[in-house]
Amino acid sequence: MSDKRERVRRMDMGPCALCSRPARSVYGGGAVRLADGGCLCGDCVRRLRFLYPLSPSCDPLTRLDAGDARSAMNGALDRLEDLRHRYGDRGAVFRIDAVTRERRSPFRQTLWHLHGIGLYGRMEGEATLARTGARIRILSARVDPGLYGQGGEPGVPMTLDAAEKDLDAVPGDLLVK
Amino acid sequence: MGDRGMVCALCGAAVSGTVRLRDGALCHGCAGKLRISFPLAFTWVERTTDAGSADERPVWLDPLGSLSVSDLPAALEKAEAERDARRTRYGDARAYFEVDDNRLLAEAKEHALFGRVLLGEVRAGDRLTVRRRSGVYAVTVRHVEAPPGGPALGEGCTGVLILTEEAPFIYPGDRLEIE
Repeated sequence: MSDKRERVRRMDMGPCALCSRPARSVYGGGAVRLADGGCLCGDCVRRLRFLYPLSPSCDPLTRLDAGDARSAMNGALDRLEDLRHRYGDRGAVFRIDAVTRERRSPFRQTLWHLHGIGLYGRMEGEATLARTGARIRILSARVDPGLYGQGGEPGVPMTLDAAEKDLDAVPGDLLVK
Repeated sequence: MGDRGMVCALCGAAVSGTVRLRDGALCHGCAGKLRISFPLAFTWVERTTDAGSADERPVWLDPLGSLSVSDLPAALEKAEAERDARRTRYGDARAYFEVDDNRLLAEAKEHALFGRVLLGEVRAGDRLTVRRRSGVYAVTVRHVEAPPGGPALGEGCTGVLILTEEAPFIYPGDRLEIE
């Protein structure tokens, strides 16, 4: 009989300091603990991440308190509009920091690994190399080891994979949508 | 205990598959009137039995479950006040949807907007507009996915809108209008 008794424990970090929804870090929830002990849910983190990009050594969002996060959120859409204006109203921009190629069998296209970081907007599907105008189909996006985030999200260092015969991409190039 | 034989504490209709209160139940229609102030929230829970077995599962937390029937008049007033406040803050569009995420569905070249309805309701076929500095962009909703199911995503509800076209110009945090 006593085996039937169960304890239920919520697996979130508490209410988000900005939207009050449960902030989950488990199962891709993406929540972040703030400097004052509060937390941000993954949805609010997603709105701010392009302003506070992740690096292998730190997550700058964890240095904010709830007040800082709220001011950042209030200005986030304006900052996004500024970036869109700077990059010609493109939907998304990804900066390439390193390019590696992986030769495969003669019957398959070369696989290109484009390592870099999204400046804003989600980079997925088809994109254009801004310098040459070449169209690229992104097959997958892998967040750098040890970091967290979803593939293609801005502000998260990651590697985009593309299968192309030739790709004239160099570090510093921009991939745009 | 099932919901068989229960009636809605607000409209009196016989209901099944209801929203439970502490001492009664609501039909989905009446619960929808309160959702603007009592939205469902998603999280995960871990259940551990005395025998030591544990499992983890996703759950929807329903704040209406902590209300009793006697709380409903005040809850209705609270919802109405919140609706008026949002109408003043956002404007007179038929509905507003706030975007949490915008993802491309891999093969279909369609975009899925995750988010919640701030005001009104969203149905398939609705035109959503977003105002950017560079102009006004519009997209059409092909399909609406929402718990617990139904043709429309109601006020205060979280769900997914599948669009008929690509929409890279919509970002998390955008507030979309439906005229």
